[in-house]
Amino acid sequence: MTPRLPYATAVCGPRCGAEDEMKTSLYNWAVEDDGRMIIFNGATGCMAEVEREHEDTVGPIVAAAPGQVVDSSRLDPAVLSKLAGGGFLVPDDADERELLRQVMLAPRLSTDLSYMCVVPTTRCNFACPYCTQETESGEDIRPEVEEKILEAIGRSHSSHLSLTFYGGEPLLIPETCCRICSRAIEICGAKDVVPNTLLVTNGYLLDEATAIRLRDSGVAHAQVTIDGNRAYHDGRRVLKDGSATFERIVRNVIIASSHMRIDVRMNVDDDLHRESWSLYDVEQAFLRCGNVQLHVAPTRWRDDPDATQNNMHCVCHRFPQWHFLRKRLEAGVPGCCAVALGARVVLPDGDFVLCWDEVGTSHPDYGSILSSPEPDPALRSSWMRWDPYGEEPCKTCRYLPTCRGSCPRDWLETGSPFCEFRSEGEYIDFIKANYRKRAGQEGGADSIQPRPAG
Amino acid sequence: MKIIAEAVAVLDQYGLGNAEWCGVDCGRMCSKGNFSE
Repeated sequence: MTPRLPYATAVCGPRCGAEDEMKTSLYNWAVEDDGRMIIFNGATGCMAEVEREHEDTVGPIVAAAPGQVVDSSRLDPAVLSKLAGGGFLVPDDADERELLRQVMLAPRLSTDLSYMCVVPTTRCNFACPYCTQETESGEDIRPEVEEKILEAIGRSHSSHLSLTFYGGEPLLIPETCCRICSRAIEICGAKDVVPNTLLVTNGYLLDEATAIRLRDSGVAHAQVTIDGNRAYHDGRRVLKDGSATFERIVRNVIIASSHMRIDVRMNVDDDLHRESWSLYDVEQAFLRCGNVQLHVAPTRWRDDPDATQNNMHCVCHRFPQWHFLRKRLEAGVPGCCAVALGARVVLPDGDFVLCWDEVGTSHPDYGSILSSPEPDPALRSSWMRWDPYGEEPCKTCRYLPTCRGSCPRDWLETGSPFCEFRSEGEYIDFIKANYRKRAGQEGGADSIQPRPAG
Repeated sequence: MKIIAEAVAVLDQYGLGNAEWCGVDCGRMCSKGNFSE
């Protein structure tokens, strides 16, 4: 008897029942690890160990071709129940890919989820080599642009608002950030909307007094970038005069984390961060800071997509503890502010861009908030058509629920996605690593190791 | 079968009220609690 279970019910509704034929999921995996059979479904995130007595029946089903109708009458009802509940078997007429596509599109098309990214200044105090922004010719936000941003927030009917401050370096004008944030919160409060707030900063000016002012203005969360251990970081994240910044940023983050939540983004390069200990100092510095969370991201070299793609691969495989090992394994929401109707990025002169990476660059003319509350719909449509569940090579890729199609801009610019997984073997490594982590086995350690002596 | 990680019903996860802008990492959207994995 086919059970009524969450995933199947989500696909086909209450008619799921004993009479339904079942077929294999598009996203099933069966791997062997140290003599055990491990099965994994990339859509639901279900992972299970298969006992030896069930290997001969479960193994062929999970390893069968995607979408193959199975004869479930010979399966132990308890095992069948778990296979269906885990999403390894789905009703014969279910269209898994289309379901995932629809749930991907739902939040992207929703105007109930509003996102406003304010760029208060395109000036910056740093001179990072990979930055494409023309910060020398940067400017601060114009008063009339600030008013239009607040006006747009006031007119929004969304019940969720995320407000982000990006740059340039926004803390060159902290009072402006504080003023915009506190006024936005006041406007939202009248509508019973509590915005999520974030400020993205290099951290150099995030001293304790500034952190307190930000917090008191409603900026509850900051993202600070550190490019690995001191030697790596100070080799490139420098002030305009070339001065080092590592020590001051680390000190600022530790102190500021008493007043706000801080995400530390560690940019890594495939040819620079060759060993896991290249981030060891950073991890150690924040070991006792409960309000600091670390994550690793690829350095994005805009003029060298191959390097960016290699860096993405480096993130996944060299620093698994912050990317490869996941708290949640099910299909994620792919998307970014460039491919969502409710999102806007506003530059200091009022011009819109759609993607953060377009800030400070020569970008298409998406319009200005001074003349329209939304970016040009025709230009936005070219981004909105990004649909990894609808287009090859992602459409039929069995890693897609896990990798989520990666960055839309990379795909739109180069004509192909920047893949997290380059081979089936790498995806199997991902499954095994997450299995070992959950099973508490070797290889599931949370922390990286220091540089070997000598 | 010994379940190591439970299945998540995708529609439950993606109910509109359950998606949000995590903001971190170039304006990415995520499900609540799904960031910093």
